[in-house]
Amino acid sequence: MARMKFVCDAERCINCNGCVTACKNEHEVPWGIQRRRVVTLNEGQPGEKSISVACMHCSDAPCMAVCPTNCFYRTEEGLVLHDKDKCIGCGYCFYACPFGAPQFPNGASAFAARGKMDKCTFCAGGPGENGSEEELKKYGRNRLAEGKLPLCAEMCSTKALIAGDAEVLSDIMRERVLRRGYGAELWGWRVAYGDGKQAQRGQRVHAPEKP
Amino acid sequence: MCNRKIVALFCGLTGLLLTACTEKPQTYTPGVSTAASDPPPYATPPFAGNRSAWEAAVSTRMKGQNEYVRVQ
Amino acid sequence: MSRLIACWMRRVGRCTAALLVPLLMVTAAYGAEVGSYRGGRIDPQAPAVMVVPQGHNAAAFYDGVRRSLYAPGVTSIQTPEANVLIQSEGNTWRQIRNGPITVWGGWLILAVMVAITLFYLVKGTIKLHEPTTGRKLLRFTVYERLVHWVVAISFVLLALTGLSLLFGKHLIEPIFGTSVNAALLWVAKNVHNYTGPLFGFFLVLMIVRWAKDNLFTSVDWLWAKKFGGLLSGEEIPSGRFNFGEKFWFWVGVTVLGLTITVTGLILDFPLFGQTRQDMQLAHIFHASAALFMIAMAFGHIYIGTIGSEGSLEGMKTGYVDEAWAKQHHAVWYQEITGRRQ
Ligand code: HEM
Ligand code: SF4
Ligand code: SF4
Ligand code: SF4
Repeated sequence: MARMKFVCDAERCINCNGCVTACKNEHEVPWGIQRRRVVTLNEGQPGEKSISVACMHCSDAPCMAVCPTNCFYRTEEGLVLHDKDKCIGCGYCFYACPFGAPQFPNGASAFAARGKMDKCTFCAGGPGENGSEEELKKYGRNRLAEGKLPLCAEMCSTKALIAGDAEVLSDIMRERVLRRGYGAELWGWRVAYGDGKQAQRGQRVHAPEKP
Repeated sequence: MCNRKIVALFCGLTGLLLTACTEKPQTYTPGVSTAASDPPPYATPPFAGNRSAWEAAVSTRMKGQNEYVRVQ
Repeated sequence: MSRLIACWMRRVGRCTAALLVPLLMVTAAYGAEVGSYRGGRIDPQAPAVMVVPQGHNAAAFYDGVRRSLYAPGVTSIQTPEANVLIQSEGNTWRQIRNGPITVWGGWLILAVMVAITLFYLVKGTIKLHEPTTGRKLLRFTVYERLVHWVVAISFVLLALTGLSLLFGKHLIEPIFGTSVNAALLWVAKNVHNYTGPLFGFFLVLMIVRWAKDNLFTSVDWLWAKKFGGLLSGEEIPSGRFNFGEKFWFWVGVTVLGLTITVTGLILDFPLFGQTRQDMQLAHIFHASAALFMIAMAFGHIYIGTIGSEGSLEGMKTGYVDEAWAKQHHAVWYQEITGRRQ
């Protein structure tokens, strides 16, 4: 198994917010936190595009780099997860993250008294025993340990949002682009996964140049 | 004389200490986890350590995201 | 030997100056770079809409989104800035904080520590030239001492906790492990966040109280030219405060102190709609100014304790010996006693 990634195909997303709702419900995410959100660009104009965004589990993750307590870790599948027991709620990951993924239960409060940071886990829970009561409370359900994929992607009705192994996603996207003949751009991929080997893998999904 | 050596040593050591303050590379090595205590997803039931069974399970779901395959 | 080191010292001094100037410049340049992004803000000049033609390459459009060239999008999520798809300046901030601020800031502090240690080894304590007389002069009132010590103690607390947020990962964690570091930083963050406003309040009281006595006068010029006789051992006359103290008062306490306080309050109370960009800029100014102020404070603390005999007494008891006053603040001595030396 190689690297787990998300793809949101902006040519397909219909801004139904199903992924947002599914995530909220599956993980009992606290008030004020949305691990996933849908942003619409050019709203109401020709060429309107909606994009579903959560933590991208970046390759050279800025959140990880700035955390004073080093509470982030990377799993075998390349996911960026974090340990709430070590989080001091300083908010640095929130300043650094390009995608606005880290959020805090207390919201903005005096003396920066944020609660423990919460973000998308790729439905892979956090430290501690897989599927335990404690993990469920702190990080939500561990679907990966149940042999399932992120719920937001699995329930996406148009399959705009897909999740899984980078190579499998590349294959799906390539086929899609070939069939419809346009729309190969993978929004956010270069930011999240960089220019290295992994980006080359991403390049493969670009449609062949049309004369 | 001794002073100078001590000072040189001090400068050298503190210099070394500071080089440790740059960012450490955090690149992803496939299959390597940096977690202090987080068992991989296949380690616990229902897969209980059977890695290939887990990979097959998620793989099926991943490929199932391609509806061109499903409707054919 | 000692001459050699004295010559060295001067070189170190020059090098430190040579370090300070580029550090300031780079900080300013980086600040401008972060500021040049418009993420999270609706830029009045930006086209609100950029039409992406269907069936064509939209890469340029997404590139524009990435660089925040257009107005943010629309979302049904209510949290602040949720409509901003991407803020690339987050990674710029990361590079500044983990780059120049951590590494150069660390060098600055170490360089100052080494310089002061060297200075002490070579020059030692500045002794009183004449025996103490036993006659005491009132130098600081109870109010002045209270303000000074609240500022000083809270400053040390803030410096220690602030530095541990910046360097704990590199110094505490490798030795004691992630859990100990995390527990210490939890304490540090809370101490820092609650002590900050106290420091800021008393800092303002201090500035108001001492501003008048810190106005520059003609005698300061001589002191500045001879660097207070610190190297030659000469005693240069001065008023209640000498040029060195005035420099620390205006540059360190007033400019850097107020910068730290204002930016610190912005970070401390994220209640007024601060965007992530505001927080990044506030943090860069806060941490840079704090590092400069810590570097300067080393000098201040050195000269106030082991660097000069009899100085600490004034701030501890409020009174100084006549011999000390005559030697270090001849003009002030004359003003308050009416006596010539
Ligand atoms: C002169 C005294 C001060 C020093 C030496 C100081 C130093 C620092 C340093 C080095 C950092 C860490 C930067 C990093 O980790 O990247 C920091 C962060 C911070 N400082 Fe200060 N600071 C001082 C005063 C203040 C004041 C007066 C306030 C508030 C009124 C304040 C509020 C903050 C806040 C909120 C943070 C962010 C830390 C967090 O969110 O956990 N500081 N400070
Ligand atoms: S998207 Fe944000 S939170 Fe997720 S890995 Fe990247 S920087 Fe970290
Ligand atoms: S809020 Fe928590 S996870 Fe984020 S940088 Fe601070 S300590 Fe790390
Ligand atoms: S992967 Fe899971 S945690 Fe992340 S957004 Fe989707 S449902 Fe939420």
